[in-house]
Formats: sequence, structure tokens, C-alpha cells
Amino acid sequence: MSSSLHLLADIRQSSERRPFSVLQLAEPLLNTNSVSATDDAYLVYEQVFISAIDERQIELAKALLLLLRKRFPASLRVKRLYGMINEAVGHPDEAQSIYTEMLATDPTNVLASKRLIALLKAAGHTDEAVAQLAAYLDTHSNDFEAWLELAHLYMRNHRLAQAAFCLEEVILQQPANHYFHLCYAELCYSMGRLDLALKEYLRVVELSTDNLRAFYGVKLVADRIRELRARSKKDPTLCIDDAPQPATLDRLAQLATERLVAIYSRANQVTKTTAELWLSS
Amino acid sequence: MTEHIVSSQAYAKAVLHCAKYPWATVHGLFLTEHQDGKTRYVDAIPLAHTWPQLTPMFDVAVQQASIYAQSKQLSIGGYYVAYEDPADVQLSASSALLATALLAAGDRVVAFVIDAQQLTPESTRPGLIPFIGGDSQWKEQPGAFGEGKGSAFR
Repeated sequence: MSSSLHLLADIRQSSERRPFSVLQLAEPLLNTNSVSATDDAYLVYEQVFISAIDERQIELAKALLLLLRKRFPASLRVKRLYGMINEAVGHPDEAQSIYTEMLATDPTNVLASKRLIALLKAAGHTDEAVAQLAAYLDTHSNDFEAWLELAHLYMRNHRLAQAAFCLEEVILQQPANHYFHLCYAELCYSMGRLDLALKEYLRVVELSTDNLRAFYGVKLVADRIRELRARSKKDPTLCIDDAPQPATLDRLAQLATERLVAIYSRANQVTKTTAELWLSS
Repeated sequence: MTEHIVSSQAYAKAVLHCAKYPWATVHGLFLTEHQDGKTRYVDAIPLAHTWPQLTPMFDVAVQQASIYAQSKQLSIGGYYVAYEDPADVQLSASSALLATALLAAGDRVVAFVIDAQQLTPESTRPGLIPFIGGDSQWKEQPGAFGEGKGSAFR
């Protein structure tokens, strides 16, 4: 029994969204009433509640909500769960009024702000969600996950320059995470800033091992810059001013190709043949 | 008018790709063959479910898919996208750009938006909405996949 509780605690710690696993782990515990005596009881109830609404098990969610309400009658944290269950059963207006009420009581309540933004996003009001999120970030600018979410919303509307700005904020706060550099590299490439894209792809290579995407990126950008320099007519939408010397570009493309060949040597036949043909072209 | 025939394999792969990542926007390519004035969408290549608006890996993927397609005597004749928001059934600006990039590689490309709301057992139509490009604009083809004689897709 306690191993299930440990696993549930691990999932809470990593904030992964695994509703099916959580329910599988928790159901036997709840049925045999093994949770109520533990210290983490209410954390588990909250976790199972969220997984239950994710898996459309509304009756279970309601039961857990009652338990939580009984123990914490005036809690805003529980109130937001009421908002969430309203969202889950398709009453967005009720949910919205709950969150707005919470914010009226406590304007700095992070849970309510985030739920409100999520609600707007789910309802398709992307522009409003962007506005609310930008306002939230004015006060909580060290919330890099929020910057990431804003970047995502901007990308959905094809506002790449604004998304890049958000990614820059994320990278400032999390400089060692290669995933963010990767996203930034791809944004730069999509915007035509090839020199910066190359630098960022190289940073990804530096920060991770055998990162296929990064090697592809380095090769792609190095080849493109060489090709663009060979053309007499300059394309004003593409920025290659800060790119390295031709000799360096050649070497980078060569190194990337070598790494790609090494990685693909372990792949299945079809993938391997296609990749090799592409690499040699 | 060209007749467009979507095979079960192509449709199934695209729809399953969409179903596997319901929280994300997914996109991919359709491989086609042109015969007797008909375009058959024979197969699908799912591409990605992260950052579908960003172009570098899309460029690499299209290049590799072209190599694969040629080896099977097929061409890249279609692009499909299923948006995060199931109510979203218009081709977005980023998707239009990607589909236009495909036009540069092949001659005839139809962009499809997967209408997730049609992917139910009760639905009478397939969940694909075709868009045909021209004059740098992608126009929806209404009544496609319909029952009547006017429909060019099936």
C-alpha cells in the first residue's frame, strides 16, 4: 500500500499529467480506506480529484470534493477545485464567476489567475487569454512556465517575434535547459534569423547528448547559409550577418552529418536509407 | 474537375495521429498518386505534435518524405493538420505557409483540416475539410465528401 502512496507522491512532485495511472493507483487505496489516516491524505484527495475530472469520473470527483470541503471550508485552494469541476462538466460561465470571485477576494491568487487563463484558452478566446497572461506576467515575471505558455499562445497566432521574446525570458531563467534553446533556435529559423538559429542549435548540441534535432538543425542552417551566400541577390528577410566563416560552416555541416550517420546506423532499414540519401544530397 | 479519393489507410493514419495527441496540434503529409485524372491519397506520414508552426524540422521532413515518396512512385500531394482547439476548422496562417511551401516542391497540394467533431461513430461525413490553394490564398471547398454529384472528394 505504501508503495502506491510513494508513487502518487512522485507524480505530484514531477507534476506530470497521468490521470489514468493516478486513478489506477488510488482506487484500491480509497476503496480500502487506506488514505484517510495518512499525513498526505488531503494532497492525495486533491490529486485524485484532478485526475478524476480528467478521466470524466465526475461522481468520484464530487465525493472527493465534499471531503476536501468538509476539512477546509474557507479555502481558496478548494474553491478553485469547484471551478475546475464546473469546467469539466461544461459550465464555463460558473467556473469563470468562481475564479473572478476568488480574484476579487485575493487579486494575487496565482491558482485563480492561471485557471482563468486556461479557461479562456480552452474556450478559444486566445486574444483574451494572451492579454490576461501578459497582465499576470507583469506581476509574476519569474514564472518561466507562464512565459512558456505565453510563447505557445503567440505561436498559435503565428506571432513569432513575440513568441521569441517570451522564449528569451525563459532562457534567462533556465539557461541550462536545452529544450528551450531548441525551441528558440527553431523560432529564429522560422523568422529568418539564421545566424542566431545556428548559434542556438550549437548551444543545444553543447547542452545535450545525441540530440538528433539539433544535429539536423546545425546541418540545415549551415547548408542554407552557404547556399544563400553563394547567391548574388540578397534576400532581405533572411539574416545571416553574424554567421561564421565558410570554412567553419563547412566543418560544422560535416560534423553534424557524421553525428547523424552515427545515430542513424542504429535505425531501421527504411528510415536509415532515406536519411542517408538526404544526407548525401 | 479532378476527383480526389482518400484511402482508408491515409485517413486512418491521419485520424489516429490526431487521436493520439488530443491536447496538441498535429500535422502531417499525404502521399498521392495521380492517375486518369484522379488523385488518390494513398498513405499518410505523420510529422509532429510539437511546435507545428516552426519550420526547420518541417523542411527536413518534407525533403526526406520526398525521397521516400519518389522511391514508391508517389508524390507529396496533401498536408493535414488537426488543431488543439477542436472547434477550429479554418486553415491558420502558419498552416497556410507550410502548405504553400509544399506547393513549391510539388504541383498539386490539397491542405486538409481535420474536423475532430466529425470523428464520432454517429457522424455521416469524414472529418476532413479540404482547402485548395490559388493566388496565395487557401480556399475551403464546401460540400466536399458530400453525397451529391457535385462533390469531388471521397
